[in-house]
Amino acid sequence: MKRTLIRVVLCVATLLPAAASAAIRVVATTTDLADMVEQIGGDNVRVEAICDGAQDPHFVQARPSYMVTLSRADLVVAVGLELEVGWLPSLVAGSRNPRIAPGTSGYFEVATTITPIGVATGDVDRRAGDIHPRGNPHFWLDPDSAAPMARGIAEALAGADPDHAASYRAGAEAFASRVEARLDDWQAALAPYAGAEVVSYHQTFDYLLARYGLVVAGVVEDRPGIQPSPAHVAELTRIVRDRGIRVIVHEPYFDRAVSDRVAADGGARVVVLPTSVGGARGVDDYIGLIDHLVNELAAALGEPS
Amino acid sequence: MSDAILFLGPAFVLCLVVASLHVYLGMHVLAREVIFVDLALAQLAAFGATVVTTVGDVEAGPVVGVGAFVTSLAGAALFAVAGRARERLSLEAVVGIVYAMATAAMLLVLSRSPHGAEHMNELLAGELLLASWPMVARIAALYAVLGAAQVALRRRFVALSWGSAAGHSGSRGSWADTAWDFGFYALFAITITISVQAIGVLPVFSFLIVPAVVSQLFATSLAARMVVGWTVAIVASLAGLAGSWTLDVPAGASIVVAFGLLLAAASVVALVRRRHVPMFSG
Repeated sequence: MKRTLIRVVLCVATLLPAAASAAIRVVATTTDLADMVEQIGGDNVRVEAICDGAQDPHFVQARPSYMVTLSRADLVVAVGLELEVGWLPSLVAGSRNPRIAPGTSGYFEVATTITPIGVATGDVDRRAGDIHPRGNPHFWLDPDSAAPMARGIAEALAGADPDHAASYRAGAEAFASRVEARLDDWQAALAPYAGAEVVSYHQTFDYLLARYGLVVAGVVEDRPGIQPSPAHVAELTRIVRDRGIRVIVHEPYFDRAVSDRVAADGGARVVVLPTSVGGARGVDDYIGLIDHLVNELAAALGEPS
Repeated sequence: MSDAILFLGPAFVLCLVVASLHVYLGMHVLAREVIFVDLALAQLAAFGATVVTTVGDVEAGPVVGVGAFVTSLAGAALFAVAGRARERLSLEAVVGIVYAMATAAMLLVLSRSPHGAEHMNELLAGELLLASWPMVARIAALYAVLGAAQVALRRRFVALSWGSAAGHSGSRGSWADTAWDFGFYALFAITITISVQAIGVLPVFSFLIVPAVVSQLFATSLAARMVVGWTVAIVASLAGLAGSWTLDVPAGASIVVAFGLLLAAASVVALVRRRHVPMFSG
C-alpha cells in the first residue's frame, strides 16, 4: 500500500513539470532511436526507450510500466521491418492510446527512410526463409543511414508537434552533420581490412559489415532462435579454418557457447559487439556506438594471428 | 490507482475466468495423481499447432487450432487407455513421458522453421498483461460452455476421479469408463489449450494445483474445498497483479510467486491449527 502511494505521488510529480513545459512525450523502442530523438528534439521532447541497450529487441516481456508509458505518449518511434512485431503491437493495443495507433501520425517506423537489405524475393518459403521477410531490420548500425533516419524522425516529431517543426528539422541536420564528420575516420579505420571475411552469430551486423566491405562468410545461428545443427557447426568450423577467418562477431544477448566452440576449433576469436546505445560500457550515444564498433572490429582484424 | 484498474482490469477478470474452471479441474487432477497432465496436454497442443504452421506453411487461423486439437485429443485417448493398466503402469510416468516426447518432437519440427523461437513463445507463454476485454469476453464464453459440460457430467467425472484413487482395484475394467475418461481428458485438454495461450504454462499450472492443494489442508467435502480453492485463486490473482504493478515485473510470474507464498502461509496456519486440536481426533 505504501509503495502504491509512493508510486501515485511519483506519477503526479512527473506529470506536473511536463504539463508546464509542454514537451511532447516520445517512446522509442530502442536506445539508439531514443538517443536520436533526444539529440534532434532537445528540450522540446521527453523520450523513453522500452528496450535497454543490452537487450535483444526481438523479444520483450510486457511490464505494466510499458503500457502506462505508452498510454501517455504522443509519438512512438519504432525500428520497423517486423523487428518489434512480437511485442510492440500488443503493447500499443494494451496502452489504449489512440494517438499512437499504427497508421496514425503518432506511430513512426524509421525503416521507411532506408532501403533494406536481405529482402526475401519471390515466393517466400517460410521453412527456408528469413525471420524478417521484409528485410534485415538492423539498419541503424550503418552510419550512412543515420542522416535519412534523423530526417525521418524530425518529420515525425514535426507531425506530432508542428509548432517546433523548424527546430526538429534543424536538429536533424545538425545530428546528420555530426555523424557525417566522422564517416571518413570510420572508413579509414576499416579500409585496411576491406574484403576480409568474418562470421557472425545472428545477422545483426550485416549493414555495418557491408558498409566497410567486410564479407560475412557464414552465420552461426542459421535459423534464428534455433540451436544450429551439428552438421552446420562442423561446416562452419571447416569454413573458418580453411579460409583463415579470424573474427566471429557475436551479440551480447545470445549464448556464446556455439560461437566459442567454432572459434576454438577453427582458430578464430569471438568479438562481442554491442548492438545498441548502452550495450557496452562507455557507449552512451549513437556516434559512440559506431566508434566502439569500428574500433573493436579494427582491433580484432588487425591482431596478429 | 485508476491507472492500475484500467490496465490490469482485463487481466484480473481473465484470472477469475480461468480460476472458475481450473480450481475444480485441479482437484480432479490431484485425485487422479496426474499433476503434470496439463503440461503434457499443453505441450501436445503446441506440438500439433507447430506441425501445422511449419509443414502446412500457414501463419494462424482455424487450421492451427485443429492441429492443436487433434494432437491433444490423441493425448487424451492415450491417458484414458493407459489408465486401464493402472496397477502395472504409473499414469504419472506416462504423463511425464508424453511431455518430454512432445517437447522434443516440437523442437525437431521447429528446427525446420525460421520462426521457431517466436512460435514457442506464442504457444507456451501467453501474456496476461496484454489481455484485452474482447479476448476476455471470448474466453469467458468458451469457458461458460466448457463449465456447463462439466456440470452436466459431474457425477460421472467425480466417480471416475475419486473412485480410481481410492481403489486401485479392477474398477476400471469397462470400456465405458475408459470412454468417459477420454471425455474428461478431452474437455480438460480444450480448457488447458485455451488458458495456456492466454496466460502461459506456469500460471495455468498454478491455478490448477495450488488451490487444490491448499483446500486439502482446510476442508474435506468437494464443495467446501471449492470455496477454499476459489478464495485462494482470487487472493493470489489480486496479490500477484498488485505485485506486478508496484514492482513493475511480468504479471504471470508474479502471480505464480503469489500462489507459492500463499501456499507457504496456508501450510503454517494448518500446522498451528493441528497443534491446537487433540491428536488422533480424526
